[in-house]
Amino acid sequence: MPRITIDPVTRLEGHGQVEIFLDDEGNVANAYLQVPELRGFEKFVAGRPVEELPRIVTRLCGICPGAHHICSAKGADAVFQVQPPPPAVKLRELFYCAHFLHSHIAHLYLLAAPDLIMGEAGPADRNFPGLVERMGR
Amino acid sequence: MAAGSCAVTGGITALANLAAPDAILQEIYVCSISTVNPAGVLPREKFAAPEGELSLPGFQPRVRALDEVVPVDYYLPGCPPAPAGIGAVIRSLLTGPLPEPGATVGAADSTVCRDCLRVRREKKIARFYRLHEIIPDEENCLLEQGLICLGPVTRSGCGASCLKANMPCRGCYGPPPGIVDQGAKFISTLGSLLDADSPADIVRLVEEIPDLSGTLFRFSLAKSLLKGVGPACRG
Repeated sequence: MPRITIDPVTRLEGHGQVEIFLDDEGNVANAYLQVPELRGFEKFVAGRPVEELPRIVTRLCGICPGAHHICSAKGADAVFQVQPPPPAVKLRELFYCAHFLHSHIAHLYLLAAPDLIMGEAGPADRNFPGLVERMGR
Repeated sequence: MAAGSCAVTGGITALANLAAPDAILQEIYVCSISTVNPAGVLPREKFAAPEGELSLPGFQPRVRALDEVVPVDYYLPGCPPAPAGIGAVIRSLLTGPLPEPGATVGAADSTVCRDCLRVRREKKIARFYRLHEIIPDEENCLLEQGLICLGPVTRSGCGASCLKANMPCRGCYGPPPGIVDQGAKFISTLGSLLDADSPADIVRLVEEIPDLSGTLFRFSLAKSLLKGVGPACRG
């Protein structure tokens, strides 16, 4: 059965590959998403001091470290059974707004825009340096 | 170029070397509280789907640094590398002259302590604190105040940015030149800093530090002398 392989999937941080199988008419018969990456965070965070985790799980992803940081901080709050004071909550929200900007800018320019703007180019050029070349500095 | 501490020294992800590969797979795909997998199915390198064969890379026995896998010309440490360091590296690649092969770039050859403006006195540590147990003062050395600060054994390049936020150095730039094993060097440093009169005092003080291996090798386990646990790390 003819297949189309998309590997790597460049619109996400981390790794993915897609296998698309085609039927006799050339239509999609089935598709598989595979994640060929495993680092073991779920296992190796066990045994670390819980107050360290907000700064360990940020390394899960370079596009969304802020989300992991806040999620883990809330988890640490729950472990200690504490409510952060209002200034801390506001600081976290401010931080998360900054993260939101960073995350979307990074995703747009580094991951999505090369596909959207240079879809016809080959993989060697369909990337951030290629985008700079096309759009000018 | 090994860009970032995962590539240079294994980084945070090398903490996986504190667990056996089988235990990692079991935790993630079978045992974890949010997993439903009664048949205990694990990822396979080959899978015969009805439409054709699918393949995945195998799970490696341990996390390695980039230069254990391919030859590396330049090392850019930091988690993340500071923007100024990245900029300097890009400029030197564009305009030359190129650094010597094997050089560490975008960082300095001294330690974080050299960039830290805090007042240092003779250190005598009487007890260790976890981050939530103390609000440290902003003028004096954090290690003297009983916080584990890896500044003495960490390459500078960050401008001591964590110290400026009243947080101890976590060692993300890895060891400075001349130090092979960042964590072992810190243990050796601690030996001269403890306010201890007897071996029993030393044991009591060091036992106050939770997760010694994960703390001292937080970013450098793959390139440490021990490399982790398990046969693949010893080999």
